[in-house]
Amino acid sequence: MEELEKFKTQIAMCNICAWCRIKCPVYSVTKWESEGPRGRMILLRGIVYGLLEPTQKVIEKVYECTSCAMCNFNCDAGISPLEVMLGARRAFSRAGVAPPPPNKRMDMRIARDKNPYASPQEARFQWLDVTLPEKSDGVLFVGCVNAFRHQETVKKAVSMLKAAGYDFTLLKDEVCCGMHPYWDGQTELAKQLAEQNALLFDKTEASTVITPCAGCYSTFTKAYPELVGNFGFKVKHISEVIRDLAKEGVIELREGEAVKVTYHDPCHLGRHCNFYDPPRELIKLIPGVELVEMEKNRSEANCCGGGGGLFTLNPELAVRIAERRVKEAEATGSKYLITVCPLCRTNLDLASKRLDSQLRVCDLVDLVASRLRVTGEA
Amino acid sequence: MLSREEIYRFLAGVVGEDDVSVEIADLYAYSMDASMRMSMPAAVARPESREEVAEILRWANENRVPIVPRGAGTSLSGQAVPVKGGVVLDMCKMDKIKEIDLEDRVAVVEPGVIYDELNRELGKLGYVFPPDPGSAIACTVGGMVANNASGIRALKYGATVDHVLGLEVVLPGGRIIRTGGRVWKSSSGLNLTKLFVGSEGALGVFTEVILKITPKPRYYGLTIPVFQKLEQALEATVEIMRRGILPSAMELLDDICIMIINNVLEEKLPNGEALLFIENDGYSEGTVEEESRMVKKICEEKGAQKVIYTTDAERIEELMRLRHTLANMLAKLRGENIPLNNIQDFAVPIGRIPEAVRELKATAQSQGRLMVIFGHIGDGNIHLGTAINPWKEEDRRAGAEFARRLAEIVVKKYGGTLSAEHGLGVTKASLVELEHGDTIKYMRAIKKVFDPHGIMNPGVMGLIEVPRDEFVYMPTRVVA
Repeated sequence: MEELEKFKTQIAMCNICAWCRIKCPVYSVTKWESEGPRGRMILLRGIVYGLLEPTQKVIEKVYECTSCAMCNFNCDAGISPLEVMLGARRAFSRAGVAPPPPNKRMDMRIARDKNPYASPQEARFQWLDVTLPEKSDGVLFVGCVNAFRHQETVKKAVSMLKAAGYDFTLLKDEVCCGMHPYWDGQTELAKQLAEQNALLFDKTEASTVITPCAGCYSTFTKAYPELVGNFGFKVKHISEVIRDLAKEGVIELREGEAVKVTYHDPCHLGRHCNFYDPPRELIKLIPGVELVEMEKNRSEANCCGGGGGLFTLNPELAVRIAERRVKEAEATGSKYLITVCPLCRTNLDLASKRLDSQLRVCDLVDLVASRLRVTGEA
Repeated sequence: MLSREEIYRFLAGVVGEDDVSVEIADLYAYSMDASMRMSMPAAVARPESREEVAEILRWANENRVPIVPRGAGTSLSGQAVPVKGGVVLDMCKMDKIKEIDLEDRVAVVEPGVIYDELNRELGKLGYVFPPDPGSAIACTVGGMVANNASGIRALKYGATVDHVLGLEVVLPGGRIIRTGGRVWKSSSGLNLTKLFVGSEGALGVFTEVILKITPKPRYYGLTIPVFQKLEQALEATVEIMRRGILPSAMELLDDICIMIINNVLEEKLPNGEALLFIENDGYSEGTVEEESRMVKKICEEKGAQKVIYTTDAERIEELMRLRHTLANMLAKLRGENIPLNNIQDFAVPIGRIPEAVRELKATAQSQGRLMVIFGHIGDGNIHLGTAINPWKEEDRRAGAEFARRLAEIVVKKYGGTLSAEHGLGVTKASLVELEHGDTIKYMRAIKKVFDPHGIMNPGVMGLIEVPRDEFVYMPTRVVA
């Protein structure tokens, strides 16, 4: 486990104080010490000092994490439990004892099909009904979850940008951004996917990558510089682009039903990338829409439970975590729970249905599209 | 001796399969607390009711299975480390605030309620449970009661013991008893409630706690005097107390602590050998201002070079939060070493603070040992921080000798105590006779009354045996 040695000091510096555990989404739901960041640090301490064997059960605990980064925000010891967790996953993967079977199968599917859904690559853009240029200054990177699971939403996004005259194209051969293998510790696979996408971006001669997915956004901004070296593209979330178009008057948002909405910060945009304002600013630009914040918002926002590969490893636990977030959203009295991450959306939607909630989970693109009047000129 | 399988089957029959584990991954995670000492339990169970706890304790008593109640595992003295194996009872599922009664002015809670969460609820009603330990964000009320925990506001409001009116306790054998009640005063019989507070899980398991609650002060003022010499700060502390002022907190930070805190503060604190955080609170603005003015004057008389004063609630909260997190931030200094737990929680009579600290510091310096000094200096509680390499026998021996030397100074010379608020646990158990001498036999006799077979948290306070030193329970290899 040589790779884990790099984290020995961080692991030893953990005070075992439990502050990280308090807001951990997994621990908050299961309340098992081994399923929170402190427990994980204790297990890794055992492994790194050669006192504990990394059995499958122990390894599984290292994968019972949504990568929400809440632990990092609550650690005063100057360490990053999140970084240690990722380092441990990488070390286990390199040693051939991880990821756990469900995640491994998922990563193998991604390696084979370039998406997690065992769908042929040709199906990625079947929904696309417009023609886009080969080269452009901006590339809309759709992402797997949107391309295969939320096609109506991404179709609206494409129409919206096109109608607004925004200069963009798609990557015809787009492959998975690599987020799932990256957080599984399958760095080599993540690197292959990153290099493939980076090459495709280069061909478009674009300067900017736009994505409607929080996961892809954080992968491009945080992981790609490490995976492909100099990733020189500006990365924008689509909410920023639409907000700017709306502010410039290119997109006009019309009055509609007076409605309260609440906004869920995806962890990979919020805590990971410090990206909190553009979606809120866009929501506030919609006439008649009132944004009501949940008690826990921005850097304090609770996780949906879907990230870090947990949705693959233990979907039941992931949805239980999402139920907690849906209840928080319900408490705001909102009709819609808005998010800008397709995985959060999927998970929150499952939870909402399971709770028989009246709350409707939707992507910000859908909300905007329902109030859209495009002028096409600034 | 029962097999692991037998233990599992019994516990699963009581709490259900979802709330018991004998998996190595779980056991290892429950083998430690914040003391960084380690010992593997045979099982972990998470009871949800007093009846479940009673059934487990009846069985444990019959079968001589050690029981270790655990709150949040934030103990710095190893009270949650199952040094003799057995069953860890994680009380996390007994986390209800059962009642907040403003007429009786009490809160009735289960032991697993987190301190900060209770205060959030009390705060909405204008009340507080005030001891305020450093681990407030995570620790449980049950754990606080078991260790008689306190923190920065104990100076004015007392420790946990001063707020516990009554307890429901499950004893070994499964009998459920109640001590005290909702009355604020009682001179009826021996005070068993106070006996149980601070008993470190060695007598029974708490299943309900009745707390006296306190109206939350409306006004706060924070005075921060900066001193060129540590001794000036200590003398100011004694003088403030001598003049009859009772701040809600009086915290000492030495130069190393100032440096650490300044690393994360935007608006830096001035440098000096020491500074004090002196918080005055009250129900009228005038009282707080007047007391703060007196505090400032005394500090200046004692040579404070600069005195900062703020009534800005956000700034006070920010600084007090940093004071809370200070102990955690010290990890940056110790790296892969571990803290020497035995010296972390001394207290001396208030009037003797300056000479005691001077001697403790000189002792550390004479050995070339880096030692941080901070703490709730107003009530004589001195936190000392130094670290040792736990994997080096030589370092451990030197650490143990150093701890014993300081303990002797504190206890023998200054009439102090080994532990003001962390408890003795397993890490200070080796020094118990130094402080309590022969009277330990009365403590042991009391233990036997409640727990004749010694199943309750064996190892803490030296009630059954006195370990060689604080390093007896260091992490060891686990065979799956």
